[in-house]
Amino acid sequence: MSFPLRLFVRWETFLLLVLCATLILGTHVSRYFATSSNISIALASITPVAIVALPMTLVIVTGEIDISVGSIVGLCATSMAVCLEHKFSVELAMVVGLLVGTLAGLVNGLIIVGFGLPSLVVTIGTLALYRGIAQIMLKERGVSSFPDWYQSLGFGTIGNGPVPWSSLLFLALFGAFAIFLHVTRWGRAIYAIGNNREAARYSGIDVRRTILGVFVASGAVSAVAAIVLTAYLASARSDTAMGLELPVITAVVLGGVNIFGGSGTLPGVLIGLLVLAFVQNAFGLAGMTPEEQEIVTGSVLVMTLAIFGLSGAVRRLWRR
Amino acid sequence: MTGIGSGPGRLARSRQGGVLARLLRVRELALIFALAIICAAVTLREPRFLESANLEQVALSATLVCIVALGQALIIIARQIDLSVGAMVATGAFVSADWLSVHPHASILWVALIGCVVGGLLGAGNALLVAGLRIPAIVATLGTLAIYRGGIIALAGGRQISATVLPDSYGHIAEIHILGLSLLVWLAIGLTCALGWMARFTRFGRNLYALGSNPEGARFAGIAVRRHIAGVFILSGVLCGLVGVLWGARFGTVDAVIAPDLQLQTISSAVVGGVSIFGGSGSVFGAALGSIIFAVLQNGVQLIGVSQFWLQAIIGAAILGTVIFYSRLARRAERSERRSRLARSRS
Amino acid sequence: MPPVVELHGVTKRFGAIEVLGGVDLTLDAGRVHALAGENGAGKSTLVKMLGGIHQPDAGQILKDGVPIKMLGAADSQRQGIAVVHQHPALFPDLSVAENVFIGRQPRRMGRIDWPGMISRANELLLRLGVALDVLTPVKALGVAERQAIEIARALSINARVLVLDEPTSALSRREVDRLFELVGRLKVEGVAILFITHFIDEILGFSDDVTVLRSGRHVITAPVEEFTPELIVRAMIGTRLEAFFPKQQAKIGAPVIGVRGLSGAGFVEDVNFEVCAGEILGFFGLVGAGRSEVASMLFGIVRPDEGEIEIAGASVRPHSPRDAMRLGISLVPEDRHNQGLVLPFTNRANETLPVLRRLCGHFGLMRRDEEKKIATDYSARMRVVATGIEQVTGTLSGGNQQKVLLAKWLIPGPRLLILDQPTRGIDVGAKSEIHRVISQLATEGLSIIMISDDAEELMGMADRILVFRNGRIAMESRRGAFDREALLLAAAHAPRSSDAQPPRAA
Repeated sequence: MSFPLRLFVRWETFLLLVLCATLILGTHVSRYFATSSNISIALASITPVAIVALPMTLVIVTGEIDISVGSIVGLCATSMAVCLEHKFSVELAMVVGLLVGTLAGLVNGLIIVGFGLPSLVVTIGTLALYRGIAQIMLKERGVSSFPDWYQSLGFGTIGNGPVPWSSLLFLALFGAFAIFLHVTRWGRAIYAIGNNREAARYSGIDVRRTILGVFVASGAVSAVAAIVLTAYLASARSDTAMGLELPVITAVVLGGVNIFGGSGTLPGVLIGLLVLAFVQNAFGLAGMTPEEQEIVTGSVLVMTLAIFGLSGAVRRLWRR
Repeated sequence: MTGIGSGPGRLARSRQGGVLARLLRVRELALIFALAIICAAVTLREPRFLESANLEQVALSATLVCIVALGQALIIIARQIDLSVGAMVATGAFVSADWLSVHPHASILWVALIGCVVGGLLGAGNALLVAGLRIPAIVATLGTLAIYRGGIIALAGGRQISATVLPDSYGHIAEIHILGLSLLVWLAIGLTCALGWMARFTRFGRNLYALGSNPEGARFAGIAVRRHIAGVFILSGVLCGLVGVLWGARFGTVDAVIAPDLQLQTISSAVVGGVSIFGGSGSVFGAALGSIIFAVLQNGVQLIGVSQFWLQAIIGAAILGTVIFYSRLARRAERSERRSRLARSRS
Repeated sequence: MPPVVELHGVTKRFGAIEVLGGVDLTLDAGRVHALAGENGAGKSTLVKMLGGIHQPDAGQILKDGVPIKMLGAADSQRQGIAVVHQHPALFPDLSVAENVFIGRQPRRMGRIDWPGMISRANELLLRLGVALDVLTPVKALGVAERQAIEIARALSINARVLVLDEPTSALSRREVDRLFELVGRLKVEGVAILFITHFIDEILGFSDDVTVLRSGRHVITAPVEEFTPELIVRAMIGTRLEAFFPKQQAKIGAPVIGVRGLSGAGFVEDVNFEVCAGEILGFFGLVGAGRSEVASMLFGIVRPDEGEIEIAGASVRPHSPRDAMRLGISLVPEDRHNQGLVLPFTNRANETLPVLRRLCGHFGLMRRDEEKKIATDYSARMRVVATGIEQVTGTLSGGNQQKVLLAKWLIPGPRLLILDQPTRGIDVGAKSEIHRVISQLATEGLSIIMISDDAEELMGMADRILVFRNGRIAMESRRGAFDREALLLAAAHAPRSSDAQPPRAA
């Protein structure tokens, strides 16, 4: 078996173990943990992060990063809110939101590709810019005049089972992204670019257009996340999804994607997301505030990587 | 290409060194120039900008970000990044203020020391992950950001430490003036100069540039790469701890959620100040200038009476504008370099 | 006088693989010791041991007769051993002076003594006869200048041992001469020099002693006078080679591609040539003479300012590698690791990268079976030695990587195949196999442009050779009239008269 494949399998098995440990821990924390309503809450609360994590995986595998996703979600939510304020239908508002998100991603991509700038810096800039535009548009107002059917996108479950509608939406997107990344030629091109940009160019791959594409995808899918998130929160404000980029990147890295690009898989990211969802849920049931749960999230990330790093260090030492 | 050193190459090459040297100068000059233009524009609309009380406000608000940005700049120069600075500042601030509220008669120096030690320990945590376990800095500090912030929130349990439980001497630090300038501002100036000197005149400083420029090469050249990376993360932690103490002194009230965006502010300051995000080039002076520009922008927006909701957008536009400007500048320098190289090879 | 450095029975294992097994080596002051061996013979491991990067598992390193232990690059420097790497490990953002003294900057009263450092750097470069502004950032310099800086670094630590790890493979002929001149001066000063190279001429022309390694074992050590080229090659590969370059005569057909008045890259001027079916056209010249630039214009990487490219009677203008591929042009680039291959990919993924579009069905879904079949076919044709098409390319030897790269660029089914330095840095066995493949492709009617700075290689392979100098074609020579000296002269020597009248070969 090839080396990266072996690494992946080990990473994935390791993550699965972590997931099992989390589930066992959860059932010990509270009898309520394993109930279908709790599982549906855990899934619904991670869904916006999970949706944005899909294009983020593509972006990071390409060797780029998009820090501005939280602001794009906020900007889309704000645009939809402004539409509702002007008494547009919610369907039209959703279309506007999707357009705004796509446009925001396009702007990111155009600046990065057009000027050849590092995406970390550019998206730090647009993080401030998009959030600023949202603040100009909505000031400190909050909008919550969403119809009931829209809100059920966030919380409603299929046939009152444990699976929320939003998770179904996520699963559909996940399937599409997984096929795109792992089975199509564009996915192959993304891995090639992430591993060796120059060789990809020499192989006739249009590197700039591909990078532009992943940033547009990132913007468009962030808009979808904005729809799910506003439905979940039943409101939209200019500070919606502030700081969303952190849990998203955490989930992607936890899922085994190399932060420098070139490797990582979407199934891995899915397990990473589930670990995050259930860890947070379990500690929430144990009475931790959301802020305190951050310790757990951060610790899971650092410990997972540290154990992996440590095992590498031990191996090196042993070889010496 | 002329061999490794023929006569005529010499002149061309010293000219070419000039191009790059000029580029560096252009960067910092352009920054000062931009700062002057912003100041002039704000003053035209609102002359109160130049009143000493207002300028002091600007200086004070620049100070805290500036000190953290110095550490961040050195980290970025070494091709790393520290996302946990805000959480370290909050932890340093809360722990030291909490200790002071229990020991109200203790010397203020002890408080400063505690802040620095706390910051240093948190920085050492980052160092352990990045240098010890070789976890990429952006990921490791993303994790510690959550851990440190969550930790201090759990420790604080929603408490606020306000001026009423703190001794007056604490708040007085911010009011000490030397030669008309606040002690805090002097501290920032002093630290900027000290770290600027360190970056230029010590082996530690130069080695940071070296390992940012070529990490593998640094190892081959016998530089203790991991020790240097650990050092610079601990340095950043100490600076954050110090800023935490100053934060409490300046604002009087400390809680666990202060400085939420500090990592973005300091990275932006460094980048706008001309520090390359890929490491190896830039200076702490540039980062300091960057933080001043942001402070002036913020103050100007408030003064002119532009709605505060515009501030974020303006900051975002400023960041994008500068990095695009720098990339054009670099490309032009590169092109003229290529041309002179060609001219040489033709001769 | 005892030798400066001695290696006694040095052994190194990585996991289960023994990379070096009981190797002896002796370096004497004022002598150049050449180390030869195929890729994988253990040369670079030995270099890394002397550089303090690896430690021997068994055996001893003696310095002036005393056993030493080096646990890092710093230790090795302290012992007076300086290593000049193939790709100089310099710091592009820092100045020349700092690069010379990095990690050991002269200090005065606790601070770095900049004026002192600058003047000492100037002194060292002067001693090497190199004129450089020591405040220039290194990113503005070429490879040869960078190596000069590494040598200055060696001087600055008063190195008594200088290790040159394949220093010449990235240099043009003239720069190589220059390098040898520099090293010659150090030799006179009594420095012991270990010189690793693939070029047999360089071993014979430049060294005093020769050691040959084969698969981690010591084969022979003797003064250079006792060697002939055949002897060295035989020691390296263990069996006698039939011929270096098995060129088969191909039938040369109609012109496939014509280039007229090509200028551009700020450099190339008025280049004209034609390549016919079945013909191997050699491009000879120094690095930077314009040969690779012409190749990148044909492949759509650099846009020409002027000139016409004609394929099958139609004028074309490739704007990107993809355009060029559509026109039936393939380029095997010079830099295998950066431009050629995605090292963490499998051989299969690497080989099919240029033809992904063709291997796709609906919605861009890859047709796996077809992909596997093509990759297996071509791997077999190229005789890639691997566990299979699913082996990760980065784990192959250099020669096999090059074969994968060749397969990758044959799969699109090109009309014109451009090979930029196809055998650089690979071992003799793989080299002759690649020559066999190239020769066979020509007999199948493919047009081939082969770029090389090894005149011998081109003379063996090409039907015609164009010599580039300063962005122009300086000479054209046909098979049968090849003259090594004339080629070298045309490439390296400018004619006296100011007008660039190319000196024709007899």
